[in-house]
Formats: sequence, structure tokens, C-alpha cells
Amino acid sequence: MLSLHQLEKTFPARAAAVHAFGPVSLDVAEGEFISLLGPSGCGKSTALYIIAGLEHASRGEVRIDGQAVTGPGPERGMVFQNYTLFPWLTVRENTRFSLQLARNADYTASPAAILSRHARADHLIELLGLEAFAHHHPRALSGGMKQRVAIARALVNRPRLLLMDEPFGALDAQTREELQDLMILLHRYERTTTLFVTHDIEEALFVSSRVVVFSKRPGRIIADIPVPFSSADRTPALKLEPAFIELKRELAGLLRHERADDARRQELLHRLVAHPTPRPPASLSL
Amino acid sequence: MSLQPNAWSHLLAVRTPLPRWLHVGLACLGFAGCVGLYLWAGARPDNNPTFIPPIERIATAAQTILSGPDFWSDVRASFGRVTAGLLLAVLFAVPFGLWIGAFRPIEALTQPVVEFLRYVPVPALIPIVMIFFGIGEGAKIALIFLGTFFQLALMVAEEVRRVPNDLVHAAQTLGASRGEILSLVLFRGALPGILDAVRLCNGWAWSYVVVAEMIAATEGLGFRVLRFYRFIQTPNIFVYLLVLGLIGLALDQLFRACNARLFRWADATRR
Repeated sequence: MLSLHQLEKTFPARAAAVHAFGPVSLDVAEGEFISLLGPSGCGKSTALYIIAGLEHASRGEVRIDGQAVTGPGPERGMVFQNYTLFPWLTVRENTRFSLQLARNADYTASPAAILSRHARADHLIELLGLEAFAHHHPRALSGGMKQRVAIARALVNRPRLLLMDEPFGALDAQTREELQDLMILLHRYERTTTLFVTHDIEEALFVSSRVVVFSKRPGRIIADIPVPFSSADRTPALKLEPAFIELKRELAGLLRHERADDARRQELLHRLVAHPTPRPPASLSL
Repeated sequence: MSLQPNAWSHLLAVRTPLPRWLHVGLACLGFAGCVGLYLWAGARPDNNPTFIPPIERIATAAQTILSGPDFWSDVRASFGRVTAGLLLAVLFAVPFGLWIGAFRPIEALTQPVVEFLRYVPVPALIPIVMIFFGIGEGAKIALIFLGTFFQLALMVAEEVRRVPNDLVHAAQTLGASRGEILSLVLFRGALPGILDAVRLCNGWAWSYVVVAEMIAATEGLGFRVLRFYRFIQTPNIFVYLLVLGLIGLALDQLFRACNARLFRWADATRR
């Protein structure tokens, strides 16, 4: 349903143009949950912004259901790394934001259909455990809560594609795990095709059905690995299973290869072992 | 509530919060200090009571003025002029500032010109305003409008630019059109800042109305102050100055209260 064809991005700069990523080609089928994994600066977020229509590609194209993407649209919902709730709206108003927009209005819809859209927003609030905060403004919410609202807001319109740009990057480890579990449940329930950008290997393996690995800048796809676990398998215990750890090791190996400083680091380590730094004489410490 | 003796030295640490009672107490002390200074200067043997009249004379003057017919018509006249000029400026400057803040070509086209115009001192505009609008009400309203419109437009534009780009992106991915981004995101997000900008402009507008009334008027607070000067009625001048200060303070507090009440969602540091 989504296809990237020879997609490429170059940022013009005064000294020398920065080649962010590409060419990248990728086909995504209906209902897939794909992680884009790669070292920071590899262009995976830029690729996501291009798919969202918020950035222009330098070359190549993005097609959704055969239609070329030319700008942002409600059929591609997005959850951002930064908190992007509208601070002047309550949680409920935030989730209903898209329902008031002219582009999403269906003038042929019956009153019942319109009501059911509002009911869907409320249902998502409930599903994401936000009822108690429905009338709060975002400034009263924790980071994890804010991202839950952002997810609900993006899903209200039943987008064809959900784009997530390191959505849990700013959260603490525990909240992060909670939200990963929640994403698995949501995907099982909604079956929204999802592209999930992350630099966390475990996160990528745990939530997605397929992991696409980017090389360092300029990012290219160096691996496209199916994750064999069923959604019922995806419990916190999975992270300790040998099969999971084996995949993790494989991906870590791929990414380590992409570290620019690896050879230099090895050399330094060898030199340190060969010529240890002399300790200051013990008599100096009083 | 009391402070530990050693807590006093901590109060001068950078950005230390102050207990409410101490805040109010210090504010009152500031006013009391001004009164004290006035009393001290008035009691000096070399003081001519025409320059610094005793407080009793100011009180008597206040009584006469407040019960007289001129005072309230003066207040009404000045108030009406400020309100009309400021409302007009808000009406035009808010959409204009929204466009400057939202669209780069409009910013490039107009912002440098507006920056230039806002540094033309308002009193210097009086002759040209009088040539265009005569010496009636229109001239005073026009002067307040000219004095606040350009400032306000630029402040509104700045507030609009301060709305995070991520919010615009989020709205776009939810399907918002250009007009909806302008009204539902940029305007709504900038609204607390805009109200604050209007508060500042209100203060300036009161300065401009007094200047305008001193030049050509038959009523108004500024006109009356100049009139008292002609008859060297210092106590009356002081009464009017106090009234001008009180009006300014009251309106400022009113704007702040509105902002705090209407925009509870906004970050406290923004106010």
C-alpha cells in the first residue's frame, strides 16, 4: 500500500550539500508494523517526514495506494518525537481536533455517523487509559500521557498509515515499556499500517513485524529483517527469549558496523592495553 | 508564617520565590517610601509650597475636583479616545501581524517598513495628523492608532512566530488547511501573547492621549493638567497625575487578570 521508489534527500548547504539518505526503495503491505532502525543522523526521520509530506524529496517518490504524495494529509497520521499537543485544548479536545477540520468533514454523513466519530475519539481515550485526564490540559500531563494523547489524536481519523518518529525517545525506561506494550495492543486492535522510527534495537524488535535497518549517513537500507514473533508472543518475557536475543545480537552487529569511530576505537584500545597509563605514585595520595 | 532568621539572607539568592505576605508588604513599602520622600521634601525650609504643596492641600483639591463637573467628563473623554484608538489598532494590527508572522513574503514586504514607521516618535506625528484630521476627536484617535498599530502588528507577528513549528506540522498531518492553521493553531497559540501586547499598547496609548490633549483639546485629563499649569495650581496637577497613574495601574492589572483567567493553559513563565 505504501511504496518508496528511489527516494533520496540532499540538504543544500553553503559549503557542501549534505546527502541525508538514499536512494531508498521500500514496499509496505497493508497492516504491517515496520521499524526503521539506524544510527542517529542516518536520515530515517527525514524519510518519515517526506512520507508525511512535511518535507520534499530531492529525488524519487512516495506512493500510497498508487497515489503520489505531494503534501501532508489526514490519511497519514503522525506522532512526533517532541510533544505536539495543542496546549490550549484539553485531552478530549486534542483528540477531537481533526473532526472539526473542513477536509475531514463528510457533508453526506448522517448525524449518527458524525456522533460515532466523536464516540470513536472517546473510545480511544478510554483504550489508552486517559479517561481520568480527559478534561485536563496538556501541561498537567506527564510525558508518557502526552504521547498517549498524541497517538489517540492521530488514530481518530482511521489513517491509512501511522508514522511515528521516535515517539518514546524522551521517556524513561518504564514508561517506554508501557507504551511499547500499548502499541502492540493497539496494532492488534486497529491493524493500522505503521512506520516506526527508532534507534533502539530492542524496541524495534519488540513492537514491529519487520525491521528495516539504515546505514550511517547517507542512509541506505542495509537489511530488511522479518520479526517472526506473533503479537500474542509479545510480552515483556519475550525480551529474554533466546530467539529474541539472537535477533538482537544480529542487529547490534549490523549497527556496530555502521559506527564511524569503530576502527579508531579498536586502535586506541589496543594501544591502551599495550602501553597502560602509569598510575601516580601511591605516596602522593595523603 | 514566619521566616527563620537565617532565611533572610537566602531571599536575595537569584530567582528565589518570595512569600506572598512579604511580596505585598514590600510593594506597600515602596509606595510608603514615595510618600515619605514627598513629605521630607515638602518639610524642607527651602521648599516653596507652590512647588511641593502639603498633602492636606492635595486632599482638599481632590475633594473639590472629584465633586466638580469637569473631572468625570475629562476621564470619560480620555478613556473614550484611548478605547477607540486602541480598538481600531487591535482590529487591524492583529490580522496584519498574523499574516506577517505566518507568511514570509508578507514579512519581507512589510516588516522593514513597519520597523521604520514604529521608530518615528509619536509626538512628531501630531502636526501631520492635525493637517490631515484637523483638531477634533478624529485627530486624537488617529494619533493613538498610529502610535500603537505598528508596534502591535510587530508584537503580534513575533508571538505568531513563537508558536512551535511542531504544532503546525501536527495540524497539517491531521488535515488542517492553510486557513485552519492560521485560525486554529497560530492565532490560538499566540492569543495569550497578543493580549499581553495589547496590555503594553494600552499603556502607551495613555501617554499619547495626554500628549494629544495638551496640544489641542477642550476636555480630557491631559488638557486639564496643562490648564492647571497655566494657573499654577500644583495641588490639582498632583491629583490628576495620581488619577492617571491609578487608571494605568488598574487597567494593567485588569489585563493581567484576564490573561491569567482566560489562558490558564499557558505556561506560567509566559506571563
